[in-house]
Amino acid sequence: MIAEPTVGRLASRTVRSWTADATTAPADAVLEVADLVLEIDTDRGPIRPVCGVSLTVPAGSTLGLVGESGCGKTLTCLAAADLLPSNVRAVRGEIRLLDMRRALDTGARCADDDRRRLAWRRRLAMVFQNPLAALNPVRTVGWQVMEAFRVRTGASRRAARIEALGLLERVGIPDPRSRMRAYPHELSGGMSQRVMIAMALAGNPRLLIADEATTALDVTVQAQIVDLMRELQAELDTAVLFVTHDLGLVAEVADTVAVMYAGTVVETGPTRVVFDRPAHPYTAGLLRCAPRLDRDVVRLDPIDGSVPAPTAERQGCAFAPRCPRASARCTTSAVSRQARGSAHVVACHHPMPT
Amino acid sequence: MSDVGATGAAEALAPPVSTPRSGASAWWRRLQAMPPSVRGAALILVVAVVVAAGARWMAPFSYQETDLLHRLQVPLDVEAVAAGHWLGTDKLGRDVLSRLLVATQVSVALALLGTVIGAVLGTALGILAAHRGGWVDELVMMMVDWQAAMPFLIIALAMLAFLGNSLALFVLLMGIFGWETYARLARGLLLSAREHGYAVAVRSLGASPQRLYLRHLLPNVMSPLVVQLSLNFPQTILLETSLSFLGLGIQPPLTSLGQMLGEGRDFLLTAWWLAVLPGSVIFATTLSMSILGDWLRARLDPTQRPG
Repeated sequence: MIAEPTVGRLASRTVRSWTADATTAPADAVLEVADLVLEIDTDRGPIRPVCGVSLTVPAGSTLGLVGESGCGKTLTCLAAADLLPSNVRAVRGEIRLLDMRRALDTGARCADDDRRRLAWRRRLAMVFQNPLAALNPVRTVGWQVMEAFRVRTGASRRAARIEALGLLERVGIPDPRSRMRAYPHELSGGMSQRVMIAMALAGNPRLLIADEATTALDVTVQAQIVDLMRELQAELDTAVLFVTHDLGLVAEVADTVAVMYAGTVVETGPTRVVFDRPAHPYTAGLLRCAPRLDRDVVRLDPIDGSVPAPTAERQGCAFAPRCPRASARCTTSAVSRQARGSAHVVACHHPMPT
Repeated sequence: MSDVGATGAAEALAPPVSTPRSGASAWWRRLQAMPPSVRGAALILVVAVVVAAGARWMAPFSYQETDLLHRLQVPLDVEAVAAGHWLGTDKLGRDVLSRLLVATQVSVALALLGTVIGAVLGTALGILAAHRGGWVDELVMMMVDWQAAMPFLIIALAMLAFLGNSLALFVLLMGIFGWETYARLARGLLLSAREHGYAVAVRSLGASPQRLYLRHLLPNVMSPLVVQLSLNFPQTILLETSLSFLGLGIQPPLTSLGQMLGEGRDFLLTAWWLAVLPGSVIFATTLSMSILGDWLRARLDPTQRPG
């Protein structure tokens, strides 16, 4: 399948599950996902919602992961966080998080792995789409932030309380002392998301995965949360994997961007480059159908057709049936990645002309 | 946020300076917020617990002391009151009030112990089944179905008949009674709670399964379990009384409400108080517990909690 040049070296090696070694980890990447393939068994046979995703989140920067609903963004995140639902099976792939490495091909789970699994999860933090559902309804907000800190660091109740107050203040919650005693149903959506971010930041994780973190919020609150996240990232030097289907948000937040389509990453590169000179016809199509204020466009230009069903094996490019530039070769032979300028990679036989 | 201050957990977290009101007055406010029926039920249960705790000191006579000259005296009768037997005496001249106090102690203690054992055992097995899944789950659920399909009275009779009647065995029986409802309930509730966003969020923090189940999920599914407890407690009292009534439970000279009821059965036409008095105590305590449990269920849900 498709493998990025930087991770091809890793994928070719034989590695055991859950190995931890600092020697081979390049200093610049916090998270590396290599050739991830996930499968779900259904009544009509297995489907592959993720087939061959590779991406890299460099230290201290933000990777924007964009794509339409059902393209595998969330499953990729859950795989990275080791939170895959039980009905999803990893076929192959490898994920590296800081100094830990995990091969996903075995699928076997042994009891010895439990400690490593917890250690893995403690290195990253997730901010979920629906903050109201992601908070425990019967515990106070303060208790939950304290708990997050205690799980990560094993700190005492007293230390956790001081830390929680500091975190709530840091994420911009007014009067954190009294808000500590509030229950989640007493908070607004924006306030809950701030609490979720406070929980995520507890114990200083090196990677923050924000899975549609602002989608459930209205636009003004969304802007506040995005500003907060950028501020905190600059302050704490945390790497962020920012998942969204909002192109405008990606342009604002991300340093680099990865565009997903039907379970694969079709294009990655620095945000400015990808947005100004998209190489993949899908990216170009997406950008064409986003409304813009700086140009006079009478009608938006949608992409014809619809997303293909995620069947197990497919030949050629998944976007070929909808692609205006497709040729006969696109439906038969698999696409490989080609570099196009520094750090700009596209998976297409006929990329857009520069 | 001042309305939050009314809850116990919030009180504990509150810094001393900004505590809105003192503990005592908050308790008083909560007492006044209770509906009259709940207040009455709570009062009866408090009396029952106090009686259960201090029966031996409160009883005017020893519950075993016979007085054949004053047999079958009528409660509140001039003659009985003069002899100090306010609630009359039984066929051996034993003081009914004293016996009633001790019987309440024995029955309430047994039911309490049995309910707690059953609840802890059942919930633990439910958690185990939900967490492990696979054959553990199937085994636990098979045991649940097996017990649910067997009338418990038959199991109890068989065990008591074969293994002999000892107090320890009897307590164990009380504990085994009803565990399956907790197990089934806890398993189902946890399986659905586990899929909620907050459960995934806690797992993403790197919390261990014990922490996830005991500190995060269990408090969320507590209210149905508490309701089940409140339903189970009266049933356990009734089971104890049924077995004692049949002569297989508490053995004389020790007494219990069921045993008193069983003895009083023979005198229903001549000495009504021997059956009616313990029967009334059984009725009052079980009803009170059910009313209180129902009220507790509403209180335990923070979204239903009134200001």
